[in-house]
Amino acid sequence: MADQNESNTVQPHISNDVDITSVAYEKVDQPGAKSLWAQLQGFWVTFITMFKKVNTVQYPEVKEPTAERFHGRHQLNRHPDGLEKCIGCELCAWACPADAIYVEGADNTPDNQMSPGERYGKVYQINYLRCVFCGLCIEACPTRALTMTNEYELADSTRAKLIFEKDDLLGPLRAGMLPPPHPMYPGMTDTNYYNGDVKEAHPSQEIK
Amino acid sequence: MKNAQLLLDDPGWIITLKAVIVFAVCVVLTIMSVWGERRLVARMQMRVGPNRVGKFGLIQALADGVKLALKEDLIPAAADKVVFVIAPIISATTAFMAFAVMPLTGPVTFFGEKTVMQLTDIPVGVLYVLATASVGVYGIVLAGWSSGSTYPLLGGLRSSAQVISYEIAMGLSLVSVFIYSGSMSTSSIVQAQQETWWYGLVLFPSFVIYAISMVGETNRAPFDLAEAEGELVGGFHTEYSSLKFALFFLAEYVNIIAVSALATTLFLGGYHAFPGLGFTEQWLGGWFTLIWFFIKVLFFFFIFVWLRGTLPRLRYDQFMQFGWKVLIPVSLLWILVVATLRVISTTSQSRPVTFGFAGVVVLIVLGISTAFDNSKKKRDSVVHPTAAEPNFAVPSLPSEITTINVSNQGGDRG
Amino acid sequence: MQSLLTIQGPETALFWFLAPLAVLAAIGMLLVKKAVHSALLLAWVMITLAIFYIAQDALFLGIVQVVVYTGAVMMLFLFILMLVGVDSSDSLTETITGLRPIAITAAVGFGGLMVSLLGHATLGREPIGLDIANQSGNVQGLAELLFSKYVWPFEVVSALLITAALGAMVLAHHQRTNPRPTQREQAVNRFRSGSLAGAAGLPGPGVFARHNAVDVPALLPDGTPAPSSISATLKARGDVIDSSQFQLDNVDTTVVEEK
Repeated sequence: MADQNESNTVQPHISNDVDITSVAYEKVDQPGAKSLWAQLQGFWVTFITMFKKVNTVQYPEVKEPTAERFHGRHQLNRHPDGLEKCIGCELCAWACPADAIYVEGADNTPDNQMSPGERYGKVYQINYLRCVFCGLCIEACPTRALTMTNEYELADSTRAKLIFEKDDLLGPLRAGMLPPPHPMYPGMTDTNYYNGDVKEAHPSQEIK
Repeated sequence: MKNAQLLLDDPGWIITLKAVIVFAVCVVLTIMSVWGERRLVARMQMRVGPNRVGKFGLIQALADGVKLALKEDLIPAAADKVVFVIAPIISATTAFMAFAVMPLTGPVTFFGEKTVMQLTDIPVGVLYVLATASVGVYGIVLAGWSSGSTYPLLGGLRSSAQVISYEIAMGLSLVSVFIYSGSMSTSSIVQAQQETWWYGLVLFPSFVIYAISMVGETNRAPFDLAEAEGELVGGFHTEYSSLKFALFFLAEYVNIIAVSALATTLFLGGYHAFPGLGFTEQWLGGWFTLIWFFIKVLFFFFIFVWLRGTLPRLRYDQFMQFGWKVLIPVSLLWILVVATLRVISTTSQSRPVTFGFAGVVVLIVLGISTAFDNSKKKRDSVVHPTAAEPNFAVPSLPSEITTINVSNQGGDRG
Repeated sequence: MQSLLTIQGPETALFWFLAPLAVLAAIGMLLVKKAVHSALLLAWVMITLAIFYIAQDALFLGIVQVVVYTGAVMMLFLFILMLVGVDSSDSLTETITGLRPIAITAAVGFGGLMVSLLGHATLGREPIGLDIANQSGNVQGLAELLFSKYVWPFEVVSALLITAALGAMVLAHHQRTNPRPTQREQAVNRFRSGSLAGAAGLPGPGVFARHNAVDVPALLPDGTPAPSSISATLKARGDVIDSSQFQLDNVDTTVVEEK
């Protein structure tokens, strides 16, 4: 840094031990051109390929299944009685390297019980313009609320449409599930939910 | 001169109609060949190719044409406006003009008039094709120059140098056909081939040279150096858009069809049937010859596509060396042989002399080629003087490693 | 003039349509400013001439006119024009003194030669007519004359042309006085001559992650900017950003805690 004017170039360390101009080197044999016959074989390759089965998949009409563990769109899962698994802890958002997830948690109240336990995810957004489908959010999720589906058709015409809200991400209500909010299964704690003791909704959970 | 006499009494309206038909055939063939090429190359790469627009994607090229026509027509600010507009027009018109002398059928009845499907039969028909091709180069050069941009200029220069160089080889390969048939008229050459064999067999070296130089002449892969995408963006037509670009596109494919048609006419017996199938020429009142003609043209077109699907692009200096140092000398030598054989066969008529001469020529060629090979080997085997051993450690080559003691180690590996 | 008027029909129409165009193009060739336009107009004149030849049953001459003159000679002209003078401001001033009188002398001499030749060929001779000349076909008739009566002048002209081509090559050829350095020698020289920075190739522009635009010099390992990383064109235009703000000394590296 002392003499900036001439330090644009790094001076080589010239060693006089070895004169590199006199170092022996061997000429490496280059493979060179192939024989005419070998070159003509290339024509046979392209010719015979014409009669082989094509690799193309006629995509919109034919949809080949993806690999089993393909990273597709996310899904927010539910407990077997319909309550959401998400507890609004934001670990997924913190784990996200692309800053694609936004979570706002809120407290469960007796008349608005969305998930077992104290907290639930009030706002849950994933921005698919940013998401890189790395799956770190899935690994971060403590309640297995967030998983990935095999769905890959994620194209749309506006930026806003590609920010998926909680409604878009929540899994469907299956048989035996009740739409939240509703009270927890009678006599069960959030630990029971976590351990999988709740198998289906209890009739008393239904809000008339 | 049978065709010329048949053509002579054609009324004006038939000539006009023929011109329109030739034009229409060229355009339709271009559209179909663009589709065919894309499908074939796709199959060679295990793809399907265009299959969406129309049945089997048949009108894909038409859709592309419409798209091109509807695009914005840009003229760069630095362009020479007049020349910029004229260039694609020259390119396209000269491409079509070559088709005027191609005999597409034998004698047929066309709207009650006995004629042949050939626009005109001039005694120097083949030279006329060369002339249109050489004017067509103007389109490329002027397009490159008038764009006012570096890449098009380089592409235009490359392309014209290439076309001119390969036109020499092409012209030389045609000379032996002229010598053998005694005519430069396309229809007489077709007739002359009926009397002997196809010139593709008789004059095989000429055929090979023509086939190579026609690829160079049309700027097609593997000789498509003028539009080498990795080096020159798009070559001479980089700055072109809309219909002007479409004209260049059209010209390229019409040129392919034209050189294929010339190859058919000169080397594969033109509109005549394959040997042994001569009776088919009478089918449909002689119109079946048209089908024979297009079968042969499409065969050449397939070769073009096959080349494109198989070979990578050549380096420019290698390409020029091949043209000037291989194709042209070989064709000159071959012309010498053909001319001598022709003189011997027309004067002395003795087979031993002919074959004796052929043998001598073969011996000389073999001698020259082996001498050349030897000199090459000698040049390659020059050993570089090696200096003293270096006084620092160098990693030994695999062949130099002689003893590796492994018995004491790795006992736990099992 | 008499014979011109007697030709009836399409040929007359063709003549009166193309001849004015040819004359206009010929005049235009002398008047236009750009050399390429001039060459183009000349090519057009040649093509019109070829059409006239063909219309007058000199098929071979017409086609060869296009192949040789328009296709080869004019194309080479264009080639040279494009290689040398792409610039639109072609110089119109005389660079060699005394060129004008030489040019005028040559033009007059050439004109006189043409007149005398044409006079020699036409004056006091009766045209024998196309029918006799083209008796065995236009091409065959020409070939017979070229390879029998005129074979000597023909060969002399070709020898002259080949000599000219060889002479041009000898004049233009540049002889190397020292052997071309091999790749190895070049590599050795790079490492032996001064700068190691140059040995590994010049650095690319951009200052690491702080700024990667092409007009910002790269930083060398010691933190100084490397002017050699900027394209010479940008330098000539004065489009290089002052890189002092990116020097390590001036970069504020204190970490600010976010609250």
